[in-house]
Amino acid sequence: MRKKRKFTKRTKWAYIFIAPSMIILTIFVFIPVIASFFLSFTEYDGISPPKIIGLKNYITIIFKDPLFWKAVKNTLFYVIFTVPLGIAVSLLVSLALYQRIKFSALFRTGFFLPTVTSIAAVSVVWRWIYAGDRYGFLNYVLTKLGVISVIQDWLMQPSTTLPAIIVMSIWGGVGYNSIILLSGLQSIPDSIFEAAKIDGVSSWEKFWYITLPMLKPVMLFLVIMSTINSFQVFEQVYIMTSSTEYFGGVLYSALTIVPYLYERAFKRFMLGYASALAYLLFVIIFVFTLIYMKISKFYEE
Amino acid sequence: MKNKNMKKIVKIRKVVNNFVLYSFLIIGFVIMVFPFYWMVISSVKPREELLTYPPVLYTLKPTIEYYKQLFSLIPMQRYLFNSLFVALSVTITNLLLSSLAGYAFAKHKFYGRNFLFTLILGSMMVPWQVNIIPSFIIVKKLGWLNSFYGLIIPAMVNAFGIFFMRQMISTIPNELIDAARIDGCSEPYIFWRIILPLSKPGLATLAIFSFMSQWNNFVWPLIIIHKSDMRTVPLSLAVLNSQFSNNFGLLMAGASISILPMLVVFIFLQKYIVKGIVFTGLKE
Amino acid sequence: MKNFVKILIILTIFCFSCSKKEQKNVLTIWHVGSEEEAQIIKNLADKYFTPQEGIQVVCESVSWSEAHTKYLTAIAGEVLPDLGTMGLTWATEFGSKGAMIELKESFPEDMEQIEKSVFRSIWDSVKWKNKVYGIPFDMTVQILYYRKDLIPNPPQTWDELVSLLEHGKKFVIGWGSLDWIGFSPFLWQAGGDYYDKNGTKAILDSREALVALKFFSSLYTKYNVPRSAENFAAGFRSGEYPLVMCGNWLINSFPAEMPELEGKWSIALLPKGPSGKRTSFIGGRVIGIFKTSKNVDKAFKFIKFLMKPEIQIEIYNEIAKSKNIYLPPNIDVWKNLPIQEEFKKILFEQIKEAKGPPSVLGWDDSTKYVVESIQNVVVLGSEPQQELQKLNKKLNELIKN
Repeated sequence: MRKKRKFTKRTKWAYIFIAPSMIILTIFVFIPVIASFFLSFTEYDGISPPKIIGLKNYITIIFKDPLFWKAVKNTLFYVIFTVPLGIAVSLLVSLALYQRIKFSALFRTGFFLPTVTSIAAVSVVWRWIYAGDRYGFLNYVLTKLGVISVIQDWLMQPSTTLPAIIVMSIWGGVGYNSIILLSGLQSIPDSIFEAAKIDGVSSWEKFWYITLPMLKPVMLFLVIMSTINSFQVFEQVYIMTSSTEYFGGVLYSALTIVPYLYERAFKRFMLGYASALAYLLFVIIFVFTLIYMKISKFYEE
Repeated sequence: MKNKNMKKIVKIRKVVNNFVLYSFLIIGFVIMVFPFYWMVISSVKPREELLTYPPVLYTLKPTIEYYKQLFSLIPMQRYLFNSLFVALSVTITNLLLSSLAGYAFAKHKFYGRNFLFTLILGSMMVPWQVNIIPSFIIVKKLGWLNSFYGLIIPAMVNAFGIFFMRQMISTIPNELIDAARIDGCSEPYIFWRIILPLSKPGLATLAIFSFMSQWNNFVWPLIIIHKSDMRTVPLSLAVLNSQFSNNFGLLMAGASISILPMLVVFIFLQKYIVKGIVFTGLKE
Repeated sequence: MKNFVKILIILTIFCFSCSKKEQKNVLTIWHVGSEEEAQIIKNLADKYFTPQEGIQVVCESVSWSEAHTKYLTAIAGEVLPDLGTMGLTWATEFGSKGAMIELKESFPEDMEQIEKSVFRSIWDSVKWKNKVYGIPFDMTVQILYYRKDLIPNPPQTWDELVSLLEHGKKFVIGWGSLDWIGFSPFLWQAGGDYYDKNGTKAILDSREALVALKFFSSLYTKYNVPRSAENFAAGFRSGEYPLVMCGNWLINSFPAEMPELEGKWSIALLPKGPSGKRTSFIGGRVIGIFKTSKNVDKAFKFIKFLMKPEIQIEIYNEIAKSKNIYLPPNIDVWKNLPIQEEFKKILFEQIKEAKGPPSVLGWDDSTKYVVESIQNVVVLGSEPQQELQKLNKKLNELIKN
């Protein structure tokens, strides 16, 4: 009897705790999301009222839009490299920062700098680094070091544009990921490490059997967030590959789904079409995430 | 004899480890920081030195002309204030609401929990670009265009924050909470006195990210702010430059200034992430 | 802690109440461009327009990169200024969908006057089916920049250009590299065009277009014109790129950035193509009135105000203070424009022989296919003739009437 009463009292509080968040999310997130879902079944140019056209947008996108499939291919390529590499590098960095080192605050701040800056400022510098002539910084350094003999036009060659953006994204994401991993590492109670020391556990075993498992919730969070964010990559592609009249790189070799959708919506007044693109992307992301969650048994404590 | 050799091996191993560690950190540091160095150096180079071949990494005649231009051309102080006010308000409310919701999702069982959480997670998978126009219309109908309301309230809580805090709070051992519940503590008390203090690293991290994303937020303020005195920093930087961005130095000065508050926040908060030794162990 | 909270609450209330000011009887303008330009417009309005017309003018600047999004969102949410400056083709885009006022219909006599006073080349690009939604605000035209000390005589024809390139002089396309803006001058110089005179069908399957595309692509594939133009200004300075085709916006900033090059560089007309024409590409901004405006008459008066020769000269002078350049669309103004004679002559001539983007509805949807075809030929080595045939078909499909 006593147990039942406590249960309902606790649940009451749970609802109170989530109430303010749910209200705000409903008004400013869920409703717009649903609205754009309905928009995906219309033709809407932002000026005249939306015209319902059923599944026409989806059919055109899937069967008659080669640029969509190109964007899907590019996006998958981007995600497959950015997520694992980004997390691996960040794990190394956060482990290094976790050690007792001198000037730790300085190092932490330095690694975090790329994440802190707005992408607009950062990309001006990166465009200079990737500039395709003899004096673009990367070309300059690589030719001086003798690594390459012919200068590359990094951002204007289909084969190197997307990899260049991937490198820049990983660079920019290290700070973000490392901080999350660091705070996860910090949450591991010292007592466990102390016990391990007493038991004479080696560093490698410590890492593999204690640190990693304790990091699981945080790692899972990072993998899911990275995947979701990488699928939705926008600013890097938009800013690094925009010239006056188009973006997405030469032959659209770096066009990913969200920049494409943005162009359709805001440059070509095709808001219904863009919403349909967004929901197709949503389905892709949702499927990936579901797979992760099933694998990691997310909902079990 | 054996002991002495063993000590030597341990010492050598330590030196090698440290060497590897520090080289990794230093090389990484340089890679991370170099673009900023370039940005800041370019913001103080006199105009004739900006377009040189090959690139020169220093200047012997630093100038603050671009910074002077920055503050004289536009009321940068006002924009800094706007951005600061918005970012701080959003961060504080974000911390509160996300940790409340995160606690509920992590440590309570209630009807609809998984469904609501999936909903929240799902909403992150829809690119924000398609929500711009519906959101804009909602904010306009509420009469919040051109105001702090429109900038702050929609951002007061977001899916990312809730997800993150849920994960962080789920690492708090249940025994601790159950013990408090058995002792008769109310849920708000548990939240305030147990969960929050134990979540310092998570809260500090979330604070950094909240502040950062609000500070750098560009498109939303762009479309809801129509009066220049309500502008935020990224907006003001974007219009600073002449149409074809001839003034590289000015651009770099603006970018350099915009990083400063973020840096300050980070330096202030990062010690919480590190210092947060959660607790020294259960009294077993 | 308690005091801190109190202060925070007071500040919050203060800030929220700050933002609720509303102004009546004001003419609002959104200006796509720099903050400086917006302030110049406002200052001129305060000095000369407001005292006469009795209405305040507020001018907000919007950055180029997001302006299209901002306008579209504002139209969708029905929160618009009275007037807006925008890219050349935008007024037609927004206007043809019903968001802007058709000026010829509303102000026929005035518009006739304005048409007569403005360069024909730019007027043709803002006109669509004899309707005009935006009046030219400024112009930008492609010209050649060259180093006099390295190339004493700028190339007058395509052949001369090729012979310079064969002698190892490098050439850079600074505006429109590998896209239709860079390609257009060559297309027109060869005697071709995108659409026929009536704008009813695409004519890229012509012999002239083929000649143009072959030549354009050979610049990249045979003569090593770089695909991207990121550092070309520095290259111009060092002499590595002594010849650059770019928009006129560098004319006032080059002297400030490269003082040691004084007297060593100049500008020239684009070289003549096989048809004898040396047509350049002209872009710029227009200013128009939104349908939701409650002050249409005053708004139009403001447009006429901006078109006055004295005002256009003042705009030029103010903008030149920060080493930028403003080309007024009003022909008469040019007599008194304080640009050095050598440059003025060339700009004036080039503007007369220039064309803007085709004012055919459907062009905006077509640009991405044009870019794709150009890049297929240059980067993938596709057959130019086949690409043009394919492209022409696509363009015809997309023409809206």
